[in-house]
Amino acid sequence: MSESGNKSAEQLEREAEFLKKEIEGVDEVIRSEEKIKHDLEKREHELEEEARREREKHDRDHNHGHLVRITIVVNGQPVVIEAEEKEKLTEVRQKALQETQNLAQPAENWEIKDEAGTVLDPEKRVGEYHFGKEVTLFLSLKAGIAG
Amino acid sequence: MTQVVEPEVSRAKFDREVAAYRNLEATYRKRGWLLLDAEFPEVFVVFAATKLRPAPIVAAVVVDFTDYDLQPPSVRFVDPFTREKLLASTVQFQMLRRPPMPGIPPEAMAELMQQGGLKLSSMIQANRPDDYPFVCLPGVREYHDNPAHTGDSWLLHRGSGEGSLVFILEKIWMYGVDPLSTYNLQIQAQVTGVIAHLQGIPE
Repeated sequence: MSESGNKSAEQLEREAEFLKKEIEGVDEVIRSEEKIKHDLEKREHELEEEARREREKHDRDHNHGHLVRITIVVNGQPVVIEAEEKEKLTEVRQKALQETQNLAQPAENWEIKDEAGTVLDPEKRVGEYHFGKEVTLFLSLKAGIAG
Repeated sequence: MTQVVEPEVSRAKFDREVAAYRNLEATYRKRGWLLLDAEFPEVFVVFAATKLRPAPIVAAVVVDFTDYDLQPPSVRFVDPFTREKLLASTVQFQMLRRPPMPGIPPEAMAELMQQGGLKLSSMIQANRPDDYPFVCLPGVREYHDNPAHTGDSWLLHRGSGEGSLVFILEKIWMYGVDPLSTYNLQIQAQVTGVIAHLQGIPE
């Protein structure tokens, strides 16, 4: 004897029709959930991409914060050097002298001064002077032996 | 002074020197450098001592670029108002230089100088009091023309940075103007009588 017992063929057909509609409803739910899943995956991907861009931007800004834009006036002639805070002023001086082609005198003969004329220690690092993002310094040739 | 170099060459180099100065004129003004006139071959600059209040004009020079840069510029001290050249006896300005003493702290150095234990040399020299004084410094025409420096030709210095307008002005400022920080006053009081306190005069 079948599990359906003594149900008539019509009843069985109605139940089958009902189940068919239920299955169609579930399929619809599945399609809808899959669409939601797809949308969520898409959004997840967009957020990951945005996070990556933000991280790159932050890294760029962070690194840029360690660069100091130094306008160095070599004997009246200005040149811009972008120096890292960890660089020594001797290195910055050397770059400025090379860029301005002031190579006739040894680098040690050029004193590094701020706007007020205070002599800076060439062995110190850029970061030690807390210049901020940009500064103007002067390379001043030491006076020769006089008198 | 004679112009041997093609005048247009000296003029172009003069213009370049003046342009470099003008480019940073605001910075130099803060130091008390005032460029009053620049017409080839001369640049006229006066120096104020900005650490003093009121800030006095303490020096004025005419830098002459005739025959530049086969010859270095000539530097003469002048009256800041009339622009007349000053004789050694009338220049009330010094450019002092101390010997190098690496490792000595500035305070100890100052004390040593105060006690006269350190001989300072003057960078302004003159043959006689009634002669024109000059800046005795490589890069300045009068230095290289001086018989004492025939072994130190300008051509050994030319193109090295010495002898540029900014170099010369900076050395005058650095050794002569920048160290000036206080007025030196001498007051001589003369007693001419006594004054009564008016309210203290009795009936």
